[in-house]
Amino acid sequence: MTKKYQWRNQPGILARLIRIDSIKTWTAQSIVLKPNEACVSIIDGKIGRVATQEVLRNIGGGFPRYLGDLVGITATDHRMLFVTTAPFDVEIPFVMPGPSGSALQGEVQLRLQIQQDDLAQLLNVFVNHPNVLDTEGLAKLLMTNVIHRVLHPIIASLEHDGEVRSRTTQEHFEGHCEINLRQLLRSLGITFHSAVLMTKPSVLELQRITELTNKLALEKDEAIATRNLRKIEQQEHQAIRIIEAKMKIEQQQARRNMMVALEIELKELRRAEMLWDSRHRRQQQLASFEDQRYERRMELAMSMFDAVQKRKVLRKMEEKEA
Amino acid sequence: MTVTPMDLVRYARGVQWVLTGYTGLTKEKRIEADREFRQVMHHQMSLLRRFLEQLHDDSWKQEKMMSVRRIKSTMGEVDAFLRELDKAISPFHVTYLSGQQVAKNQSLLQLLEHDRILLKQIRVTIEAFTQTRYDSVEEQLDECHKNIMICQTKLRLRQYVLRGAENQ
Repeated sequence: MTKKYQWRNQPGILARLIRIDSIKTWTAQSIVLKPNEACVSIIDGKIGRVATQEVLRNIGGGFPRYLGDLVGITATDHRMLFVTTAPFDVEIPFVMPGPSGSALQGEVQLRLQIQQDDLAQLLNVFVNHPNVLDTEGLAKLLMTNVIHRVLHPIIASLEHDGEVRSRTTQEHFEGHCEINLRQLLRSLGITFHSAVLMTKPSVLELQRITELTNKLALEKDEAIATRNLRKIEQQEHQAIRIIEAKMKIEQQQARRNMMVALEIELKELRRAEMLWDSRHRRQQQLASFEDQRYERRMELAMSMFDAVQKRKVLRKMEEKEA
Repeated sequence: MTVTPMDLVRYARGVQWVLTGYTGLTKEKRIEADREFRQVMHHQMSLLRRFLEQLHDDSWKQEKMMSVRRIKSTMGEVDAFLRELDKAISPFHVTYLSGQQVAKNQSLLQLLEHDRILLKQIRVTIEAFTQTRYDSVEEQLDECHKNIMICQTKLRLRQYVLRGAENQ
């Protein structure tokens, strides 16, 4: 039965130098090297080939190795150096006086990589370092050089705190890191990729920020108060306008009601007028009828009188003749 | 003339070659050849990176910030190429036996030809720094950048050649 040996159990671990004796077990152990991992063997002080993307079988432990040790056919000293070859970030914190004299606090972020070709160089790290190299350990190794050789000269050349975060400073910082740290990093077998200077606001900047915040808060309060006052004024105007409009509506309604009453009265009067007019016309017609009948009677009476007179004349004449 | 066992190895290999034929395309030898090929390319590109570092330092001292930026950009391209180069491509799709297909020798020879062209391109890229036919650093960087792009494309095409070889 073969067990798998895990050389990297934390993401911060970059390299680990192990003695094969330290991973002795009853069962054989194999190691799977992923694409971002590499391993180099140091057998009896000699550096072997770099292995990556493969399975190293029976690397430690197991009965055959025990038997080999017993017979004395295995190496006297067998070490293995495991390294992650992917790029990684190292963060170096710093606190130093800034251009204005106030404390400048921040971090330097370095992007580094251990190339497969440089594994032998990386052994220099373990001369005075524990067998496990992680990002924190590497940060401690580089801290002195980064702060004193790169950071101090750059900060000293600045005029004010805000300049720390300018593009020019970032470029200068990266360029200085590239030039000043290269020899050190090359001696450790590490390739430099990029550097970023990250700073927290200084005390003066914080004070300015607080002042600005307070000023803005006051202005905001004033603006809110002014807006509220305007709102109240608008509401008052609106209420007055509403009242006036209501009054006008009521007046109009009252006037309309009055007009309606007058109209009704007028209608009554007109109806009475029409009634009276019709009566008057009827009476006139009746009167004219009476007049006409009287005239006809008079005419009839006159004609009858005339006829009587004529007969009377005729009778008188007949009597005369007779 | 004394004959040592080491002298016999040569003859033994010759006899073996005659009996078994050319064994350069066997799986183990292919893996080994691929590793060697990538190591050679890695060394060549590392050399190019060193040249770029030197150029960066010179431009920095002369305070040519535009050149420094372009050199950093080119170095980033070289780093990306190296990272891509470190990762070998496996022809396996899955971990089962069905995913392990055997490529034809003809296709593998095509892959070897592709690798030869890629290596030649990398040499052309490095020659851009060793030759003095360029008038300015910018022109030199342009040529280098262009060549690195071609190398990257060819390296990415390698996996397609391998897949194509595998599918045939």
